[in-house]
Amino acid sequence: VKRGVRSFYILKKRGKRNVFHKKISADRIGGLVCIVFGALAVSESVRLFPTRMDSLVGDHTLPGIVGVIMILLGLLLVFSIKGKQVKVQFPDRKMMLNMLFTLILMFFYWFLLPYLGYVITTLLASIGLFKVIGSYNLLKSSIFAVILTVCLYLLFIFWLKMPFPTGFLTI
Amino acid sequence: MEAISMLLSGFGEALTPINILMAIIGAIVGTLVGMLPGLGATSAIAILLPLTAILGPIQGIIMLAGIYYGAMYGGSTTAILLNIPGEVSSVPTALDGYPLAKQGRGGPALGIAAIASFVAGCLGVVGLVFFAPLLASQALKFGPPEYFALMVLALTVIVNLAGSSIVKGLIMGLFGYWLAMVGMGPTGQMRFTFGTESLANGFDMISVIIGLFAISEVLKGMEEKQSSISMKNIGSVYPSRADIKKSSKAMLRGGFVGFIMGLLPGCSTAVTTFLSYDLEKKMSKNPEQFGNGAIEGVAAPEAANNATSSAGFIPLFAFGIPSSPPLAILLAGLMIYGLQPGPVLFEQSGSFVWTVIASMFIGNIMLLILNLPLVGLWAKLTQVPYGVIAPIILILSFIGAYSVRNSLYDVGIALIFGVLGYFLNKYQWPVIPLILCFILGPMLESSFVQSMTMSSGSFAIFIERPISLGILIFAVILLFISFILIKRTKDRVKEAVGSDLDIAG
Repeated sequence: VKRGVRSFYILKKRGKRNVFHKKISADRIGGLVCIVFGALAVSESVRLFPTRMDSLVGDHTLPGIVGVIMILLGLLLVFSIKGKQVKVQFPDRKMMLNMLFTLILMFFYWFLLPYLGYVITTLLASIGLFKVIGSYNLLKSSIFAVILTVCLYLLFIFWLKMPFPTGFLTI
Repeated sequence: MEAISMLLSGFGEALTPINILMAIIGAIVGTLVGMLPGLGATSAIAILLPLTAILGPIQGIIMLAGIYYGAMYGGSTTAILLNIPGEVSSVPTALDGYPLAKQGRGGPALGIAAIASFVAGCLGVVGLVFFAPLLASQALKFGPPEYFALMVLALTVIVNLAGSSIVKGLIMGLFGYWLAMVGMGPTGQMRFTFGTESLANGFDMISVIIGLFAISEVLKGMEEKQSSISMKNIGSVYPSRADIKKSSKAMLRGGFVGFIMGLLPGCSTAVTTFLSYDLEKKMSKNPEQFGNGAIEGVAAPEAANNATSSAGFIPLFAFGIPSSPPLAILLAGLMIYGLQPGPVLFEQSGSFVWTVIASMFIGNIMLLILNLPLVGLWAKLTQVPYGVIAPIILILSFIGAYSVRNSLYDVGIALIFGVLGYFLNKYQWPVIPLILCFILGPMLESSFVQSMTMSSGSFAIFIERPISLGILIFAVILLFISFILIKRTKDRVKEAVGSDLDIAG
């Protein structure tokens, strides 16, 4: 909400629209996804039905109810609310690439943490994030990353004694 | 009288140095995140929730509550000085606050906002002292059917939190239930694990929250131009005696409206701020001044905002029903600390509740003492570039998700939900109903199954018991009231800003 209001006002004030508009029947696709999840819930309910304590008492009850309502609401979205267009604004290509790199960095951080340990991966991920999001040069990004890593080390490992993976190098 | 003596003992506990420190830190952090781009109260509470677990329940919740009402105040600063309301609830503040700032009276407007927030915050907490135990006194009469009825009542909140489409809100709520069912069911069967061992423990609530609120928020923030606060010619932040006199009645009226409406489960601050603004305009002798810099136009909505925020703790503590996204995260926090919000909370954890309530008084005083002289400092801090803030938020989110169960699996879930949250937001699928139902799902299911066991499968149990029936009737009435209020607020928002905005916040 906060971002939405802020972005609306910023756009309104500056008159800048460096975004492209894309119309897509997203609600209909959402309705189909909802039906799939509903069907999964119903199938789970059917699978669990033999383990019931009573017809409405058991682990099958809520999956069944949720599944049926999801299918009905999904159908409503697909067929009844016809062609409602959601205007989606994505940022320009450069920003999209930056966002993609940010996510790749976060997933690399997650993947490498058990192997390289918390300190090294946090330092590397921070350098990358400062460079990608802040567009700082390598030196500045490295300085920011070292400060952040040291502060977090002091807070979480030194003070709060939180157990993080130490990796091959046991750091 | 019992409430007063419990409150006094709560003060005894809240006034320990560590608890005062937590209230101060919470108020400061809250004000800061309210003003900073890229971090709202919801995501700040989500990130800090696992970290505060180290502090213990009382200190943790005191700090998180401080962040909550601190952020409410912080949001008004950007509304007044920049005409950029952090939340929809700050839109009425901007209507008169920004014209005042343009006239060089931004300082007094900020001062009045702070005083109104303080007065209404205290009024709200006084109401909390008397109302919450009244509601909670029915605790012993609550059985599974009554709890189930309460959960149904909580679902009416979805109408308020659904944003642009009720159907989408309902679907997201059901998706929340779906996610909550992953893992072991109430009678011990594995569900939705598809043979995967890691899914047997289900999804961690905090990971989902951090993903949907903190990580996706950073992604959204990256694509927006950020503004910093200019402190040129705002005048003194201390309002004149005439300003205080002029706005004192508006503060009281706004506080009253905010509090009464805030008692309704799910009534958001956006609804009450617009209501109080309109009420003040109607009661004013000079309604033409509204929109052109009327100080009462700042005082009334700010008072309503804070009174509603304080009143929101009543349905939260007494029923376990959150009325806003940050309170939904606080509800998750209470559960993490092993506390069960609802009618038995006052019975079982009275000392905790009263300490938190007492700390709210302290937090409100701290906000007033700290905020007026520190407005300049806050404004400087907002000039920290987003390129520095965003990586810090992401790394903290990562650590926050990891720290709950020391599990990298939870971090992976947070990252996946971060991406999902970004796209859900883009396509206007509201995530708050998802979180609400994800949190309340297990309670709804266990109370339903227990009720059905009690009644041998008869639904009549829900209408045969007077409290259960009363709550269900109230839920239906509230549903209608919510529809009316939401429609009215949407119309007013459109009128004020010229476009539809999501008023769920």
